[in-house]
Order: sequence, then structure tokens, then C-alpha cells
Amino acid sequence: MKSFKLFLVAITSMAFFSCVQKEGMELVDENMAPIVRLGEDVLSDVVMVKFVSAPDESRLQELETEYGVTLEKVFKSTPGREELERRFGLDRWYEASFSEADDVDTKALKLSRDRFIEMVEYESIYRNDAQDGVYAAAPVTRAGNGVFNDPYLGNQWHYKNTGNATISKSVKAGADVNVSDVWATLTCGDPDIIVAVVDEGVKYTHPDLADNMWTNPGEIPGNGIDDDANGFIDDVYGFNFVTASRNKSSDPWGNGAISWDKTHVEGKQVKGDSGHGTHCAGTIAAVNNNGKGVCGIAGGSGKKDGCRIMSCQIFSDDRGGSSSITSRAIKYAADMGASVISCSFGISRAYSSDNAYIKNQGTVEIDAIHYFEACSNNPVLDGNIAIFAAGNETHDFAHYPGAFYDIISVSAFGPDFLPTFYTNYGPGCNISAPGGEAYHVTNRWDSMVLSTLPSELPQLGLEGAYNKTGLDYGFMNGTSMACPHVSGVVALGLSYAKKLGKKFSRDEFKRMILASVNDIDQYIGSKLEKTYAYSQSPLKMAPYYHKMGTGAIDAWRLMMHIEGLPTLTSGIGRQQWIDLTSAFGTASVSLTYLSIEVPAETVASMGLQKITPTNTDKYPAVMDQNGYAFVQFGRLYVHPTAVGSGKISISAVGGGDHVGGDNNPPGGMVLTQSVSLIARDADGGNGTGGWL
Amino acid sequence: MACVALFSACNGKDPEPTVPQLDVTGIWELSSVSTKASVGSVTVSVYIDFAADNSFTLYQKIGEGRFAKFTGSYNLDKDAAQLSGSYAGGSAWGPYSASREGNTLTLASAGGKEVDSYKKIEAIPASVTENLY
Repeated sequence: MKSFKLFLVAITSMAFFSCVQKEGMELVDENMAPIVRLGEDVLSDVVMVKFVSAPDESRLQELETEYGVTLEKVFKSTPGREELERRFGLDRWYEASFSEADDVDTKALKLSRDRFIEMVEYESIYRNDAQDGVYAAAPVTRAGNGVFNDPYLGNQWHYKNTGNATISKSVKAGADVNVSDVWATLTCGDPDIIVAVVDEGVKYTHPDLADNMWTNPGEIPGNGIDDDANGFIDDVYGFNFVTASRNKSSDPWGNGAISWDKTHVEGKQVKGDSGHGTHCAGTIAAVNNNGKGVCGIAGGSGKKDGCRIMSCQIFSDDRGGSSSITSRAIKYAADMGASVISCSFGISRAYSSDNAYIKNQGTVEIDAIHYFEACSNNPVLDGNIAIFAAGNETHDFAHYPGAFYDIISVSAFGPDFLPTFYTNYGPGCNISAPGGEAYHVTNRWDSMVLSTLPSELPQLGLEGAYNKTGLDYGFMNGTSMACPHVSGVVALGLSYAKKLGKKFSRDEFKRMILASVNDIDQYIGSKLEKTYAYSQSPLKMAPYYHKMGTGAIDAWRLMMHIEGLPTLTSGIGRQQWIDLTSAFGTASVSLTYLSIEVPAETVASMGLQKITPTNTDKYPAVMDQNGYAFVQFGRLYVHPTAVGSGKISISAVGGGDHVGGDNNPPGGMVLTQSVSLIARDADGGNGTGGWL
Repeated sequence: MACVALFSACNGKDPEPTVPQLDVTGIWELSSVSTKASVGSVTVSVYIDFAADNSFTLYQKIGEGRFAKFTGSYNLDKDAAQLSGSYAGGSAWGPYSASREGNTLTLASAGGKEVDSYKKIEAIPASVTENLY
């Protein structure tokens, strides 16, 4: 079964996801295309097929006749994006529908034997069980940080953590995303930067979100017409891909009104929409400085200058989360102008490699994600950026699709700068952000993440508490909450780069994100276990050491990377070390370094002498292949003999201790920084970098 | 005495030449870097405030990015015309051979391979102090 699940933490139970997963079918016939068996709870009348090449009409008609199926394109083609659609195979994905009388397994098997079909994936619709752990409690108003007038800003420790012990008894000042100074001096967002929240529907009428909602300029609300001919009727703030329907494949999708308050009762519990999408949206871009509620990381300054939120709804009540729904939503985000997708969901099981995930879970959403990242919807990048949550099962690996080698996956830390009890960590986790955590104080929720909620929602998951809360704000915790923190910081970074007129490649910007961090291992390594003030058992810290990605995201550092890295300085006539914090953040001391390359011109210009590291059995070092430089203890070592300059390229693992991809075990992406260096006769700073 | 001196000064005789004490106090802006090898196209901006209490504040921007601020103490050996010091973290710098002519301060590295010239300015621009990491 394939279900994407929201990463929201249940307070009372870790095992709140009930889905059962099955491995992919073994191939028994060499002439078969792979059948990706997605699980038990599959739709009985549809599978997805990927053709070897895009079929023409006559081929489709032949197949429909031969197999008794109806074939409809999964993705509508977008004018101007045809080449990209072909590159990622989106033009080859079709849904094959059967009559209810058909046996889906038999039909799938027959389709898989067709020479024109490359892959068959079962299509399924699953429940979203992520509904516990929402605390729509009215926050106590704490003193704000003076940047904006939003009354609850002082409760949002995840933006500026001042070390207030009423939030957490083990609070650590600075355990936040360090965004206050960015707001005060650099940027608060840009309406041209759009973040798609691929999640439950976002309450676009929310008083603290409405001004920052993206609106489709080509669509007239409520007229039942696809005014902009993009294939979706009345998609003003985004689209509800769960309820969408159409009569035939040539029709636009309709019935896609975004919702956020669909619930039902099971036993004594209310289930369904949890406010998850609205909460994530608020973290990214709740309207700042409007005298209301909370702030959002890229929420502007109160002058309608925040980044915009697009709602791509893939969960509704107990439905949604299937691969076709998710894939269509992601393509929509790409085609309608989103620069970032914030995806707080995933598959809660381990795969031995990216290829194993594809084999067992299919590729349609991966094709859609890569298509999204290849599209460029802003003047800064040659692409877009997808951010995923790592998952909440305390697994020592990130969940897919975020675990994919080239996709950023986010782990969660609490107000104490330590890993949360639920966060996944280890291979596939690229970076960490505040996810919040209960049990730090007796009222449980102050140490969680505060953001926007739909006031219509019942207090979910609490037995007998069916009454509507009527509150617009509340607390949640999870890697679901960490993910939009990174999405917001990325949106803020794109806003600032646009303001400066800077341009980067997508991959370069991803490296900058992963290098814009503060070291979290110094806190993990200093404790045997983390204790809680309330209820929760102590959490041993050793498993998390060096496993929380490159470190804790820091908005200010990202802005500094965007402005440009300073040139490092060294003296001459002696071996010396050079601090790499400016290039890799304070996590430079704990990264796993892969390689160092010193070009011949640099060797010649600076008269570099060959050097050799010591104590390498205890302290690993990475050498330039010719022996002119090495990295050890997170420092660059060189021995210049002449005044000169040059560049040195240093590569590290962007999360974890090995690189993932293809058949490799899940791991980080390669994080390469090119540092400029000048050697001076006058430099006497011994690593300080000071000019004197 | 003052009158004598004044008279004396007016009687056509030149006063005895005096060697002004080397004084580096004040605010200086790096105006040139002379090295035997190019440092490439890297743009360097440096401002130093040598305070009278022998502390210093240094602002530097090397290449891209913002200004970095360093503080520490300095020592001027006026007899040897040598300037040295240490950063706040304890790392030593110098000694430089120091000389001053009017509003120009010249610091030559001990190895003789780099000569930096500074011009005296009234104040460190706000664009520097407000553009820090």
C-alpha cells in the first residue's frame, strides 16, 4: 500500500499510523514490465502505467480494446513545458481504469506483459491518520522580540528563542531559525516567491493568512469555468486534488474547492482534517506585523510584501495521499508558479536505496518532484526546490521521498537544541529545524510550534471533545512542523537574492541551504540523555550524534551565503589552519568531508608546500590528491610559501557520513564549496583571518 | 621665554629640527597593498581604529560578503618603529615596520614582501559598521 502520511506527532502514541506496507512483487516473467505492488488497500478499478514512449491515439485505442481498459493521461500537458515533461516522463504516465467486474490483478498482469508498457503501479487512496496532537489552545502572550507587533510572536521560540524557561525547562537560547535580524535588516519576503503547501487544504480565509495567499490571476472564482484553460476549474488559491473529478479525460478537473474542516467520528474520536496544512502555511508565511496572532518566516512586514502560499490539497478528511493525487498536485505547483513545495508527508518505511524505493513504491511522484525542481519559477534560480519532512517514527533513517539523494529532508529539534523524541535521523536526513516537542513544561504545548489553525476544527483526537474550538491558533509538533521552517527560510532566501539581483543554480542554492547551519552536535555530544519535565522517558543522545543532517538551519547564515562568501586569508612560511565556518557554518567541525581539490594554479600562485596530517588514525583527514592541503577537525590546512591567491574546492556530505543515490544506501547529497584564499606575508592571525 | 623664542624665531635663524614621535592613534583606511605577487582580483577594504588606550578595532571585508570585526590590543615600539599586537582571542600579529608621513601610515611586513598603506580618516563609515556579519 502506498500512502503518503503527514508527519505530525501524536502525543499519546507513537504508533498512530495504521497503514500496512507490502514489498514490491517479484518479477516472475522476464518479459513483464515491473509491477509495483503498492499495497492491500488499492483501488479496485484503476492502475497507473508508464509507457516506454508516449503513445499516440491509435496505440491507446488498440490497448483499450485489447485489454478492456480506459486510458487517461495522469498529467495535463502545460504549454511551454513539453520538453521538461518529456524529460521526466510525465507524458508517458496514464491511468488505466477497469470496470468493477474486472480483477485488477489480472488486468495489471496483462498490461505488464505489453511491450509498450514500462511499469505498472497500483493506485490507491488511503486515510490520513495524522490528526492527534493538535493543541488549539489560546497561547499566553509573551513579550515579543520588537520586530513586529503580532501578539503571539513572543511565543514563537522557534523564530527567536530567548531562553525563556516557561517555554521549556531545558530551553537553550538560540535554538531557533535565527530570523529576527533578517526581518529587521534584510528582507521579510517577496510576493513573487510562491510556496506550495502540499498537504491538507490551507484555510485561505484565515485572518492571518488571507493577505499572503497566492491567487490565480487567470481564474474567476466560482463561475464553474476553467477560465485560464490550465485544466482546473475555479483554482483560485490552489486546488483540492482529492475531491477533483471530471467526466472524461478531455474535460478540466472540477469539484476541487479547497477544504480544511472535513471530519468524521469513529467510535468516540473525531478523525479527519487536523489543520495540518493551515499550520504549515502559517509557519511559512503567516502575515507579519498586522497586529494579529502569529508571524510567518517569510510573511512580509505588514505591507502585503510577504511570500505567497499556494494550497495544493492532497488530503481531505480520511481521503487522499495517493501517488496520482500527490503527483498531480506537485505538477500543478510547478506549472502555476511555485518556487518551493513544502511537503510534510512521506512513506514510513525503510528502503535500502533510491532504486529500491522506485522498485517497490514506484516513480510517478519522483518524476513529478524532479519535474518541479527542473522548472524555474523565479528570477533567482534555474529551478525550484522541494523540501520534505524526515518522519516521526524515531527511525534511524529519513522517510522517502524526502530521503531521495537529491531532495532535502528535514529532521526536528526542540527548544533545547536537542533532537526531539519522535524525529527520524540518520541516512537521508539533510538538515534540522525546530519541530517542537511536548513534555518540556507541564502544560505540554508551549514547547511545541505555534502557528495558524482553522477555527472550525473540533479538538481532534481527544475522546469526547467534539466541540469546535473557535480558535485561530494552536500548537503542533513534528517533522511536519520542521519542514515548513526550512521552506520558509528558503523562500526568504529567494526573496533576498531577488532583491540583490543575484542568480544561482538550483544545486548551488541547495548547497548554500545545507551549509547555512549551526552545529547541533555540540549539544548532542555533551549529554548522555535528554530528560523531560513531564511524562516522557529520557532519550539517549548517542544515536543522534552526527545524524541530524548538516546542522540547524540558520536564516541569517543563508542570507550571508547569498551575499557572498568572504575570501579566507593565510600567512606564508608556515603550515597553518584556516577556519571553514564561513563556508560550511559552525557545523564545519562535525561534517564528514569527502575530498579536497587544489588546482595547479593555486599551488603555483601561493607556492604551496606538500604537507601531511598527523594522528589520522584517531582524527580522520581528507587530503588533496597531490598532498598540498588537507581538512582535519573541520579546518583547512595549507603551507603557502608565496604571496598569492587561488581557489580550493572542498566537498562534504550534506547530511550524514556517506552519499546516497542510485543503489547506494540512503545518504546525504554532495556538498561542495569553492573557497577563495589569499596568502599574505603580513598575515599573523593564526587562523583568525584578521588583516593585521 | 616665549617672547625670546618668538624673537629668536624672527631673527632669521631656523629652529633645531625635531623628529616627531611616531603616532598611530586614530582611524585608518587601507589605501594600497603592495606585494610581490598579485592577490588576484580580490577586493580588500580595511578600517582600523587604533585607540589611545592601546586597543584596536579592525573592520575588514575581503572579497565578497560583509565586514568582519576584530578587536584586540596593540603595542608600538616607537624607538624601533615597530607595531605589533594580538587579537582578542590571543593570536599575535606583527611586528610591522611602521612609518608615518602626514596622514599616511605605512606598515611593512617583517618578511618585507608586503607593504600596506593607510590614510587617516575622521570616522569609520556607517556603511561599514552597519554591514557586519
